[in-house]
Amino acid sequence: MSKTIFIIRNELIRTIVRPSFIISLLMFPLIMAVVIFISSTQKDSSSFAAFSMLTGDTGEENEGYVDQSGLIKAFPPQVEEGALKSFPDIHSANQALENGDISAYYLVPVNYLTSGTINYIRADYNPLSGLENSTMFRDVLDYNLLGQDLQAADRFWNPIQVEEVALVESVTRDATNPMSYMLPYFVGMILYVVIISSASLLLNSISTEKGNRVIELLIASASPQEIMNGKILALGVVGLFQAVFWAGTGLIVLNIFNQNTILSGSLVLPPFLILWVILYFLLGYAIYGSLMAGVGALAPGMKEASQATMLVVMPLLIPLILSPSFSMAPDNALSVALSLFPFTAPVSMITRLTAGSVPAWQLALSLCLMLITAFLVVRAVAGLFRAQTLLTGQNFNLLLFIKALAGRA
Amino acid sequence: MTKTWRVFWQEYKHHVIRKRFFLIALSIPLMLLVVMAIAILGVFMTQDKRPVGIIDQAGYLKIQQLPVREEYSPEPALILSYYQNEEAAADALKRREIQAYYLLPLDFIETSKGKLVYIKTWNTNMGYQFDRLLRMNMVESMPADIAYRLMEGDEFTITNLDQSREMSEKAWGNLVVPIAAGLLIMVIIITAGGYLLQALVEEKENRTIEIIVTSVSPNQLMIGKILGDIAVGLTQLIIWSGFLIIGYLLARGSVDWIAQIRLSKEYLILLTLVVIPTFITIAALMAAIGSITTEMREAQQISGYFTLPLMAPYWFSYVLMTSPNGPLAVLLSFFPLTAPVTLIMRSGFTQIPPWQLVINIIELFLLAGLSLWLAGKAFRAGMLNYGKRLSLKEVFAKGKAVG
Repeated sequence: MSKTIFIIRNELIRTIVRPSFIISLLMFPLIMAVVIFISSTQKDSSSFAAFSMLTGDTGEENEGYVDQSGLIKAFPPQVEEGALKSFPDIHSANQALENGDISAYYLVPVNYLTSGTINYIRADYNPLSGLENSTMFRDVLDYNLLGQDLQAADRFWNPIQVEEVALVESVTRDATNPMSYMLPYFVGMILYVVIISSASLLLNSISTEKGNRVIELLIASASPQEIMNGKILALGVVGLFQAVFWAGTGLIVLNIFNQNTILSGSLVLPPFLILWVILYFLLGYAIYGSLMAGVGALAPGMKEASQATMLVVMPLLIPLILSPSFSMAPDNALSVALSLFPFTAPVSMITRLTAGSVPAWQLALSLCLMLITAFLVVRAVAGLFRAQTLLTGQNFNLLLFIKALAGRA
Repeated sequence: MTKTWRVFWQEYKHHVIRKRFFLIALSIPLMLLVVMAIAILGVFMTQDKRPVGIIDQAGYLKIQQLPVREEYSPEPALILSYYQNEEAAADALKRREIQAYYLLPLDFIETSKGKLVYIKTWNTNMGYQFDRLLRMNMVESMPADIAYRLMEGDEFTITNLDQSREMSEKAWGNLVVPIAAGLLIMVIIITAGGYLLQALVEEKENRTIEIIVTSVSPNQLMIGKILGDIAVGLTQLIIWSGFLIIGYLLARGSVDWIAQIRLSKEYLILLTLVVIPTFITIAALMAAIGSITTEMREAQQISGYFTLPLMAPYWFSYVLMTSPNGPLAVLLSFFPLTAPVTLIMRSGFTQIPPWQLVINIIELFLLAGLSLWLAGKAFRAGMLNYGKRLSLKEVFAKGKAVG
């Protein structure tokens, strides 16, 4: 036992002081904060001042139009005074554009009613920066097509004011808020990254020590079981720390922006999410960490090992690819099946938990199934982690791996 | 010259003419295809295709169903089932025959207030289609040309001032091109550089390099290796572009936004001018790292310091796309390591002022020259150095002594 503790201590210190570990620990929340900051900043929010330093955008754009069709007679009230200037012909509009009086203008051709084409002339030719304004110009066109009748226009834009009644209460999501799709994806992604990175730390540590033959010296004084236990526990603690740190800073970042725009109360995170993240991380790590340790023990070098891991992590990737459909329909048969199957459960279940409520029996069942799988995998890998396997120079192949797991290698 | 050529050929052969290279080159497009197929399948399987019930007490819907769509759409079409009263609709909802039902009460025409009932969730896309049906009923009595325009909407075509560039908003596939092109090229440059790094460290580790330098000069060896590396990358680029072109030709007939993708001659020229110096820079820097470090893991860590800035512009892609001539975009284009991706992205979204382009590209070529020179120094200083990583200072001092 004391040897296991010794190995744990040694492994912990070696991993945590490594600069690459510290950098990736801090980089992740930083990048997330920047990305969320940029994608959430809107023109009326308080952070816009800082944001406009990066974009050089002052938030004010005046545009013009040339109406050859004679359709436009008045503006709906949402068009602010002076936001749209009328020009009699293309020449004068071009002049104003060159002088910088306007940033762009619309050309409504004579045959607009039949063709529906609008020319949008922008000095900087940027299809994206003018989007907001062109939505406004669309409203102007609709308003005039409807005979400048504001009531009819309102009816056309919002044909029904609907009162929604859900017979079974559940967390409702605002379909127009992109965060309601992004957040489950982010949380699932964090879990995936943490499980895989701590599992590959384990793989790295075993295969390097195998490569430089340190492990042969280790085996002289500690049993393979002790080495394996020590390494798995130590790197599990590191991974757990990473998970808690990332989830915690992630929640803090989200809370900061919550005051401005992003969540605006439309998305409620389950209060015990962090607890579930920790639980699913522990079980996911037990399964994938041990599998990776097995790969590390069997593969002759780093290169072969990293190729073999691709095969091992595949199941964990599938729910990540499917994440958009999880957010849309968290209770559908496919989502439920994937969140019960132990190898895909960690990422699937956490994504579902973030996207909506999950029945208690499904949580319990998936945890039980994962627990059983983790127990079996750890036992099988411990059996495989014998001195003999550690020392052979055999090439890695999947058949051998499965055979060894079954104890028949 | 023949010796450089030999080193080049050996390096190229070592990486390209082997099973693993083709496996990777083929497996990534295949994997993308599988991932896409899984994702599409997932969306298909999770979509609710059942009809939506309706109780039209107001008698508002003269047009009772949306016309059958002519174009293919991945979203299931809205089919309405009409019920006399709410009880019948609620029954059908409980029997799961419908996914939800709308109730348009007697005063719907005056108030536009209605009710929507579902069990837990429903396919919200059906709601947009229902809105469209309501609009159709609203404009039905209007003159045909106005009703048609209101329902069909407009098509905005964006042009710049001198009309040299033009893009319809329906051709949004053109916006994907700069992002994808940058990503593809950077991935290739970095992986090809990684091959070079690996080969160098390996040859150093097993001392092959000591034998090679007995018959080849360090400069010949280095130039041969860098050229070989670029050729490896180009081979990969050609294979992947081939897949993209096949995909484009196959999808062109059925997918509208793919058919509208156009690559202008100017864009291809710019791409070439950016890619060549970047390729040389990364290959040379990898060669430099490979020769001053002693272990693969260490080498990979150092190479991260400059592959990271190379990809960094993607974190700011939102700013780059919406304000392609803003201060951040200009700043990132003037810093040579972030310039390649930034320039490729910006030029897809705006017209970069020509003076900026000229300076940025000259900078890229200068950096390429500088990296080659540095690689030469590092190569001579570090090639036969084992056990200890060289510092930059030592590289310059030793480079002078040996060279």
